[in-house]
Amino acid sequence: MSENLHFVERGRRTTEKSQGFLKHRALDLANLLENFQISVAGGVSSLLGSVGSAMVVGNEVLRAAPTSDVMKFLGMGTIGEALTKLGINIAQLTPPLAIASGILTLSGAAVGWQGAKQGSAFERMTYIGTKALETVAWVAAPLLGLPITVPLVASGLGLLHNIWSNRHTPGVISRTLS
Amino acid sequence: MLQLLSIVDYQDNKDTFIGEFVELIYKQALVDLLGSLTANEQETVRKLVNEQKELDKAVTALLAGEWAQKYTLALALASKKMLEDYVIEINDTLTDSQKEMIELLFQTGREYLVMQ
Repeated sequence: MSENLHFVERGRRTTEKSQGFLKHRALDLANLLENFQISVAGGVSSLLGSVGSAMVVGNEVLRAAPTSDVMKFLGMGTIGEALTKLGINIAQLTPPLAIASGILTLSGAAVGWQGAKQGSAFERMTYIGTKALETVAWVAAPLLGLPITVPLVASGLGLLHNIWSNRHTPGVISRTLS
Repeated sequence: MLQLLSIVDYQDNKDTFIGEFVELIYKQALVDLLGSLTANEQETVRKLVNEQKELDKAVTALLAGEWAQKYTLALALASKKMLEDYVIEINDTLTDSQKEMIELLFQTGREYLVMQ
């Protein structure tokens, strides 16, 4: 019967069931830990490091119990892999990452604009375009779980444009920063 | 785990799911460890864990001390059980091809571990 379900509907049901599984298991374990008079908080601190910790734990498990066929999966990643491997869960950092990257991008844009505004209409237009793309990419990446390479490429374009436009205003970056 | 969630077409944030899934593995392993100990040993572990206040710190403490071997084994077993239970839970929403891909993923994982 599963074959007949619409793809999206099936995915939605799987997602609901998955989250239900976590919820029920969490309740069961909370009760069991309470019986043992164990009190530990999960929360942000735990979740921020959880994937990275899982890799450490995974390595320990692989060493101690090489027949385990599970922990290997916990170390696999695609989205924000580099950050995840450092124990940083990009999805958990959405508000601070979006705010910080937004501020940094706009600061950089303001500095670069000093040069770009002295250029041609084409230069001004492309400057605004790359900065808008950069800002959107940085804000969207953590929100949508995009690969970290997307905002990095956008920032690369923005940086190249900054360098190009700064030919009108040599030294403006150091002056602004100081 | 990310591959598994992609295969089953998990539509929400996968990193968050994995974070919560791992947290449950930590807790399940802790419960299993406590269940295998004598009353005195349980008391020692209980104190150690409660002193840490946060789960990730408690896990680190357990893996660093005298309980490392037992807790590591408990983690391996809890991981296996949790993953099996999860796949069983969502089984009726999966297509035959998804089930085959999961089987292949598990098989690849086993072969990878044999090579380690």
